[in-house]
Order: sequence, then C-alpha cells, then structure tokens
Amino acid sequence: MSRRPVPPWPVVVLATIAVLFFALPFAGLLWRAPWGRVIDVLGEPEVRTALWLSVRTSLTAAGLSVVLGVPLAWVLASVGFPGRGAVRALCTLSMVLPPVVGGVALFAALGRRGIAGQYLYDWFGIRLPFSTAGVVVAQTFVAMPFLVLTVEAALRQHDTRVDDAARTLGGSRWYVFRRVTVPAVRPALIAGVVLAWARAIGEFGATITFAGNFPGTTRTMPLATYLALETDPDEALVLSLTLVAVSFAVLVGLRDRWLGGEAAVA
Amino acid sequence: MSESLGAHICLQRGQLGIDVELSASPGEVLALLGPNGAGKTTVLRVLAGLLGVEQGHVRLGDRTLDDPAADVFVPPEQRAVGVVFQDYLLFRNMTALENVAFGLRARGVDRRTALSRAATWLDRVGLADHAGHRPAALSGGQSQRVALARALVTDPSMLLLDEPLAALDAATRREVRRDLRRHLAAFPGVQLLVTHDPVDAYTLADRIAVIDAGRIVQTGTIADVTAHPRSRYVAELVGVNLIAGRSTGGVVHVPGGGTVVVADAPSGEVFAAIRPQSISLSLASPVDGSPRNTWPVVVRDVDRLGDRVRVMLAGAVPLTAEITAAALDALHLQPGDRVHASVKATEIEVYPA
Repeated sequence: MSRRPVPPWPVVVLATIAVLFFALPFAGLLWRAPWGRVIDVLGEPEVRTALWLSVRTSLTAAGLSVVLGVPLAWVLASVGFPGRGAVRALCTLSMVLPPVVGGVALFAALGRRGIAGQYLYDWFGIRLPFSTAGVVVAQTFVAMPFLVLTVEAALRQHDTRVDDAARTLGGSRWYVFRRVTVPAVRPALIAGVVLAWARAIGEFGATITFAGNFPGTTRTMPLATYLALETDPDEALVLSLTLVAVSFAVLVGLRDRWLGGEAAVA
Repeated sequence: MSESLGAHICLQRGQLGIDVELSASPGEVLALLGPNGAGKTTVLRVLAGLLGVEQGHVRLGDRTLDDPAADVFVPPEQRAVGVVFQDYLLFRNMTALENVAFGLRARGVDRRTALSRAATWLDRVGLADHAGHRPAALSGGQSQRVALARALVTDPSMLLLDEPLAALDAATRREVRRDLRRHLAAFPGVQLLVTHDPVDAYTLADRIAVIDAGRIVQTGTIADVTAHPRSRYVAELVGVNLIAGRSTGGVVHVPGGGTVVVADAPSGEVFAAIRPQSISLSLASPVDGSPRNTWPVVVRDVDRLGDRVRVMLAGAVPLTAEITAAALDALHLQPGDRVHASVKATEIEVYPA
C-alpha cells in the first residue's frame, strides 16, 4: 500500500501545463525587461507620480472596503431578512461585471448628470468623475465584493455563542462586534483586505471609464503601463515589473505580520 | 446583593413548548436536572437575557428583567448575570488574563485596574501562572476555571452554569468539582446549575428541579427527590443512593456505623453512589465468592412504579433498592420485614466529596 496517492498521468500532464501557463508570463517579463533602464524609468516624474497615485488610491479603496464591507458582511452573514440573497447578489455583482460596464454605470450614477451625481454637484460642489476621488470610487466598487465574500464566509463559521458570552459579560452589541466578532475572523479579514487591495491596484476598466486618464490625478500605474506599451514598450515592461514587485512586497509583508500574530499564540 | 430569583418562563422553541416556574434564594444552588433536549439550556439563556420569554416574567430581587406584558426586557449586558457556558466559550484571540478582564473592560473599567482585578481572580482559581496563555494552551480544567473567574470578576447578582463539568474527563472532573464547590459556597447570590448528570446535582446543588420536555416534573431537596421520586422518569434519572462517608483502604465508613466495601476509592471524604437496580434483596444471607456488601436491613416502605418496585430500606446504611414486581411477589415483602440487601463492590461508584 502506498502512503501517498499516485495521481493518474493525465492529471500530472494537465497540472504541469497549468503551472507553466502561470510561470511563463513572469519568465517573459523578467527575460524581456530592460534591466539597464530600470533606474532611469523609475526616476521619471510621471512614473513616480503614477506609482504614488496607485499606492494612495488602492490603499484608500482597501480601507473603504473594510469600513463598509465588514458591516455589510456581518449583516449578510448574521441577520435574516427577506431578500438577503438578492442583496448579496447586488453587492457582489461588480465582481463579475466587466469593469468597463461598472465604469459606465458609475458615470450614470455619480456623473455630473447622474441620478446622485447631479445633487452632489449642485448641493456640495462635489465632482467625482475625472478626479482622484473618482479613482477611489471606481476601485472600491470593483474591489469591495472580494472582502465582503471572504469575511462573510468566515462570519458564517464563527460560533455566535462566543458573542453571547461576551454580551453576558457586559458588552454592548457594538462593543462585542468590535472586540470579539471581528478579531475572531481576523485571518479572513486580512485575506479579504489583500484580495480587495490587489483588485484595486490593478483596476483599469472602471477607472479609465469613470475617472479618465489625467496625469497626476487619475492616471494610475495600470493606465500608465497601457499607455507606455504604445509609445515605449521597454517602459511598459519596467512599470509592469514595478507593479509585480509592489504586489509581491505587500503580500509578503502581510504574510509575515499574519504569521507573526499566529506565532504569538503558541 | 442578596436577591432572590423568581421566574415563570413560557416560550416555544421549535417542537418544544417550555413552561417552567423557578425560584431560588440568595446563596442557594439550584440544579436544573434533565436529559438533553428537555429545555435546560433554553431556560438558562432566558435567565441570561439571550432569549426573551413569550409569556411570564423573570425577576431578580425587586428588578424585573423580562416581562412582555409590561413591555420590559433588560438586555444581557445590563443584567449582572454571570454565565459559565458549556464548552466555556473563551475568547481565543485573548490571553487567560484578558479573558477574565473582558467583563470589566466592557463595563468601562480602565485597562490597568481591569487587568489587576483579573489577575487577583486568576490567582483565586489557582491559575496565576497561566495569565499569559491563550485558551488553546489551556487544559479543559484550566479553561473551566478561567470561564468561572471571567463570570465572577464583575460581581454578578446571579451565577448560571451550563453543564460546567460535561466537557471534562473523569479525573479532571473530580478535581474541578471540588474547586467549584468551594467557589459556589463563597458566592452570595442565586446560583443555577444546568446539568444532565445527577452526580453534579448531588455534589454541587442544595435543591434540584427536574425538567422533562419543557416542564418541571419535581422540585425539592436532593434527599427528598431521591427518596421519593414522583414518577418513573424521575426515579430513573435521580434514583441513585448517594452515601457520604470517609474512605480508607477500599472501605467507606458511614457516620451511622455501617461500612461499604468498594473496588477502588480515593482516601478521605467521599460519596459512594449505588444504583437501586444493582441492589439485590434476599431473605437469607447470600453466599458468594466475589467481593460484595451484605447489609441486614428493615423494609420501611414499598412503592410500585409500573412493573418496577422501589423498596426503601432502613439500616446502618440507608438504601433504596429497585426490584421487579415479580421479585417483590416472590419475596412477599411488607414494611417491617427483615431482609438482606447486597451489592457487588464493583458496581459502586465513588466520588471525592
């Protein structure tokens, strides 16, 4: 009797093809990268502006996703109300929607003449399209569902009797939510934040449709990369590598903190 | 803080309709004893404020906690009711010390004061060394004591315990039961113990209320309910002879002068539990090679419950035996008759008192 299952050979072949399929693009990126120009390209003011804009907007979008998404996940997981399934579908629709469609929809809602946008402008003078705030709105719109679904799944697994115990100890619903429920789903919350942030920093379609492509205010890294590919493919390669590096660094950083937290338990 | 509990709890939970009246005095330990699914935990959740009654009321002292007719419902965080839950439900992401401090922090006590009061309580339950440990690193008995300290640190008016010993192995259970007795004795308010185990009720409670299918079927002191179970169900559940005595070298000495030979017993003050079904009655003294107890006794009372008969016996070791109606007829037992009661040593369970 063998202790490890021996996979059937077609599975091995197909799985190997899958690994190659994921590995090849990175290999191509590394192979074609103009390593001598990396410092020069990253030194260009437009590139640094785009990078900084991407970091700021994506982190803000991830933050907004937490502030709004965690309560939404809790309501979806714990509160039984009619039409809950419909609400969940509505709130996660943007995940499966083509991002360009999302951008058009945001425009119809929050543009100067949109159903809500006209009042935002008339009453408060707020104009979201073609602004940095618009970038954050577009990113949050497509990114938040990733966090909502991840956290909701964890909250469904959470033993609500622990929350009951906290309430008998004198915790109000809000106190228990903050100090017991949310910490209990911390690993899922971190995973959700990473997923949402990764989706936000890579956002292209909804951003360019809703916020446009203005250097300094709405031209994020993905937009700059796409633009560079038409004029200077080498620059596009460097920008792509930078995005890979930033994403990788954040993943590793979060993973260390996460693992560090687990280590403190033992 | 000397407040009595008075409750009339009526509500529907799925198929089970619950209609239970309970009262308890300050300092008293009332055991709510019944099988799984009888509604015990639901009653506890109502008292804690995690569920509301549909009809009836819950009062603690002069404070009404729940009364739908008067439109009163006090939420759990404002009740001052401490609960030790089944499985303890400690907060996994906090240390033992932070777990105990939680109730104080939730009530707005500053962090330093809360932690120092929590440390005092951890010390009181003998876990000062484990303050920095998370629940995952604690044994079942240690978790139980953290849960108890966590419930008591806020000085609740009433303490509720849901199967506090059920999650423990037999050896730990003995030790924890003894500690629990000490802490319950020191608690000034009403204490309600929910359990399916008669031994927990015997060893920890002053009075028991037997619950079956959402109704209280009998209440009284333990001696009273054990001696006079009013239904077949109660007899099955609580009809165990519990004999207190001092154990030395496999023999338990009963204060009245009798002795009980047991198979395996810790030394010191113990309870010996003898199931009435394991006692056999005979007119002549039985001769048998296996280690066994034989006591000359006098029949005091005979109580028929269907095809089973409970026979109350007086002697150096007071006992209740349960025999079949056929055996009763064969023996022609009448109150006042002298018989021999015998039981195998291996059929006697012994618990430290």
